[in-house]
Amino acid sequence: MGLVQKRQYYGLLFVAPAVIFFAIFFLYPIVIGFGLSLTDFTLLKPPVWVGLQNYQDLLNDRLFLKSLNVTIGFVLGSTVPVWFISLAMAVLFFQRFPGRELMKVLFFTPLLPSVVVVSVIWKLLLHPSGILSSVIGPIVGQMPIKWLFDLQLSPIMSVVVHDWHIAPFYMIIWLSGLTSIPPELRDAARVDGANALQSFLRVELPLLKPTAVFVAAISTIRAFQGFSIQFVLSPSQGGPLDVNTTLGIVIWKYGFQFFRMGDAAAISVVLFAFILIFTLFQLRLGRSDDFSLS
Amino acid sequence: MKVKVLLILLIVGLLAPVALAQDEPVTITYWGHAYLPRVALDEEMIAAFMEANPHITVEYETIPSADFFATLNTAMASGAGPDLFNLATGRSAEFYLQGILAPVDPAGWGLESVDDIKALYGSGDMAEGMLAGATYDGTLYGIPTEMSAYACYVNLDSWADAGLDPAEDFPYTFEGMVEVAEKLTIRDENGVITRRGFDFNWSAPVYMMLHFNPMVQQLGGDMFDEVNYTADINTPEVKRVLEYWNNWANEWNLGGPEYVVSRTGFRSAERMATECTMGNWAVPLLEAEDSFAPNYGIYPQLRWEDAVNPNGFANYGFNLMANATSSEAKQAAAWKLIAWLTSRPDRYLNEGGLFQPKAAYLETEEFKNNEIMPVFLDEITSSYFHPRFAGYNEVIEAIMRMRDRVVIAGEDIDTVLAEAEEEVNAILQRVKTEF
Repeated sequence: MGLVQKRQYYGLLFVAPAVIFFAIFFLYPIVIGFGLSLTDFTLLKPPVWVGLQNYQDLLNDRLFLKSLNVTIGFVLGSTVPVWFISLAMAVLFFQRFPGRELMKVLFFTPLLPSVVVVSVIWKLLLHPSGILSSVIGPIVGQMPIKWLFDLQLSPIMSVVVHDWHIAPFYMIIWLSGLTSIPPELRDAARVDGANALQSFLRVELPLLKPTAVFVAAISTIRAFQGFSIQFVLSPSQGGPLDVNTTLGIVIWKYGFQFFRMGDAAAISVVLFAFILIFTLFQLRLGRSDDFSLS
Repeated sequence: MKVKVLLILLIVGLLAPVALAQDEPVTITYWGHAYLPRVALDEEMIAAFMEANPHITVEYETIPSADFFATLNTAMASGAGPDLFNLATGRSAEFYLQGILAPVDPAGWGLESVDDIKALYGSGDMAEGMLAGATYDGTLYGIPTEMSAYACYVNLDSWADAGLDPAEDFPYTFEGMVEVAEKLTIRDENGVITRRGFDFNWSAPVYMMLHFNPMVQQLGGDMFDEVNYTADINTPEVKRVLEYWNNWANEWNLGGPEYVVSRTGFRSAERMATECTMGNWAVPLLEAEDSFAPNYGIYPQLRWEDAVNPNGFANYGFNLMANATSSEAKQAAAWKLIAWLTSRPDRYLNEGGLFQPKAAYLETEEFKNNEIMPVFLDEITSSYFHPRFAGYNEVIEAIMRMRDRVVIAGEDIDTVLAEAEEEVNAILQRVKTEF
């Protein structure tokens, strides 16, 4: 056996644990999940093969179609705004000003508690006689404000809570991106007469492209998987009237509440396809050279 | 002589396996939901059981109530389910239809027949009613560890604040409650309710089965036929109940889905004046020593003035059931443990707040002198068990959606009822063939 061949074997040996782990805990469930999506399965009786029937049924499934709408709304609300908010926060904290470190810590705190704890706290704040209702109600002339029970307001509050919680996480990623830009480039731009905005748009932003692709991909994947906030914050796990029922909640309901494992698996496959397509699209977009807002 | 020896050896040889089988060690797993007042007593009873039956080891596991059913289902599906479990009556139909439930084995009690076990719960209608939640097609599949019906808890201090005395002013009817609740309700300067006089339990779909449908039944209707898997929703009775709920939230502004769960409201800083969706199990929880422990009284469930049936809200409960897929030895040990755990109804009531409806216990002076149980027993004996069918969760969600379309979205009630009936019948027809 030659040295090169030997090294190849060693290489395989080193990656084997990761590959085995991936195969058992990711690949196998994906394959099984896809298989289940082609069956009627009530959990306790053997699955019955139905082919693509579950997928066909989804086209007329009221709850699935509703949750698709809800999920798309949630993805839009919890990606684009959060990119800009977190970027603005990062740019702010990249500047030097008194009390910056303390402010940074304060801005980071929403990320520290788990999403469940965050949702419970917000649920209390958004109670009809809670503090937010008492403060904002008289200003807008509506008491009580039914934050979580108004059919329009409730999904917006899910987005607000999500963005409030997660923005600091992306802020840190943007900050690391900003930090990695060589300071000479900013200095050069300034010497060439660029103001702060011009320097940001024409020098820093293009260099933040890899960070932007990462933030966009991660936030989109997370948003498509939206579950916990809606589950805890909204009344009766996705209500009222399913305005907070994301695809994740429908999968849980169909699988573990309604015993419709085949339908749940079919929706999981659809969700997987959505995430895959969007992620590939974003990565492809990230490869293009043009990345400047000016 | 040789023949004698051979005969003895033959007898010993025949009996030895029996003797060995009787003492063969067996380990069984028992899953219950984490209702804390019961758990401590369960643990003590199980320890005593293992001492009395040294060849049986019991692995007792409690699971948070909210996760119990999903955990149990998943475990059953993967073949890792427990040998016995404490199952809510609303969740047993799917298990029954899929062959998970083992029929009750009287050997666990050392009795001859299931009728002997039924006799422990009274005779005739009484036994039938008490065991209805564990019976399918005439076969008994479980033993109640908790039999519950709701009555009304009143916060005596909140009533006194409003200048009312429940002994004289408790309304007993839904019609009367509107006026009384208004007197008990406190609103802030913006008109926002800070204390409710009474409210329904709007929080979870299951309550549509436990107090919405019973209100329909009081009027002579019934939304579900659990035998034929049909629903009868677009009826005058359902419309009247739904209009009452809608008026409660929107017209009379006495409560509604946006407020905290009524049970929480009763036992929190709100000090809600009246709560009618708690069984006798609530007593240990209400008497825990903290600042929100209310000074309370218990009154009968509300009924319509023109009710044609005597029921209050629905009867429901939890039953100890054995896993039909466990080995025979484990099932036998499980029934023995079930018999043991249901042998001390006095302790479960006094220490755990759970009513195990055994006839002999109902005859004791202790039970007869219990201050609160007569009210609950009256409710249980005059009310019906909630319907049980496959697709239970899907149906109750559809019924809750029906409620919210009217109460929250303000949709036309006749349209909503017609569509809900169609939707629920479609669900029932589908699950009838699936399970």
